[in-house]
Amino acid sequence: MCESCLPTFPHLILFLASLLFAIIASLNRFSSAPLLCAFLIFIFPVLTDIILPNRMPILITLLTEIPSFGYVSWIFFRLRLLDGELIRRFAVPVMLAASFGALVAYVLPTPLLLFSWAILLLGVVVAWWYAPADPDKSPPMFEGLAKQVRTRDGVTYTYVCTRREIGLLLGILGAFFTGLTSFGLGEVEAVNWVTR
Amino acid sequence: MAVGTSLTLALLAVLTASILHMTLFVLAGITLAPLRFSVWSGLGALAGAAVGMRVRHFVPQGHASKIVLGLFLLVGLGVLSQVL
Repeated sequence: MCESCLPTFPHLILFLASLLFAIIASLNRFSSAPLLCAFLIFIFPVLTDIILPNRMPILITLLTEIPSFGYVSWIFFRLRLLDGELIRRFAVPVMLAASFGALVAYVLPTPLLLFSWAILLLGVVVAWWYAPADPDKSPPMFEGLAKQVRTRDGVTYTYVCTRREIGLLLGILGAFFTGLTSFGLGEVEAVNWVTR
Repeated sequence: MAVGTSLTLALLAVLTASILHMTLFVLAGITLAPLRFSVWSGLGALAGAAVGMRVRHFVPQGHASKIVLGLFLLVGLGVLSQVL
């Protein structure tokens, strides 16, 4: 086995932190990206003496999200629990907004970028604090169309999909913040659909 | 349903943003060497997601969410205090 392939102390630290954050994220409705990004900016340099270049924590967090999001999306896909029509409709605007967010991240001065990152995070806290504890048994936050999906094992779920304009606006806003700060779409968009 | 659909859209956004961020780094002449860390954090995230998906049915969602919200609040206030 090549020596450079063996994990060093910083690699192990990051592996364990990421493992812990991903478990936490799987147990609730939030992505753990803010925790990992904050860990990379503030705690990782203290533990390892490695200071990452500007915006690198955002990129590492984004790259970290790919396998976990991909894995969980694959599970939902196998269960036939994805709304293909919604995904097709929102894919292009979401990708454009994420690209624009990434571009803005390079234009904004670092303190302003960190400020918007923290404000978004606190906004998520406030929004979710007032959100229903069990959304599956509460009325939807927005009016919308009731849609149904039948899973592979025969269970039918009914869910409320908001009007196109609101859904699109939330999707674009969330994707912009994902490009800018490495999180946002899951948090913003999740208030959009309620499963029953 | 809601989780799966928004997660897939988030995956698209994350993929696009990653490619653009990497392109901007290369154009700015910044080394991409630290990205080796993302291999290990990615492996950790994948393992964590696999573990979490298996045990999530045994953990009351409301409690987990409140704990994470508390962590988010701490992190958010900590970053704000650094910036201001």
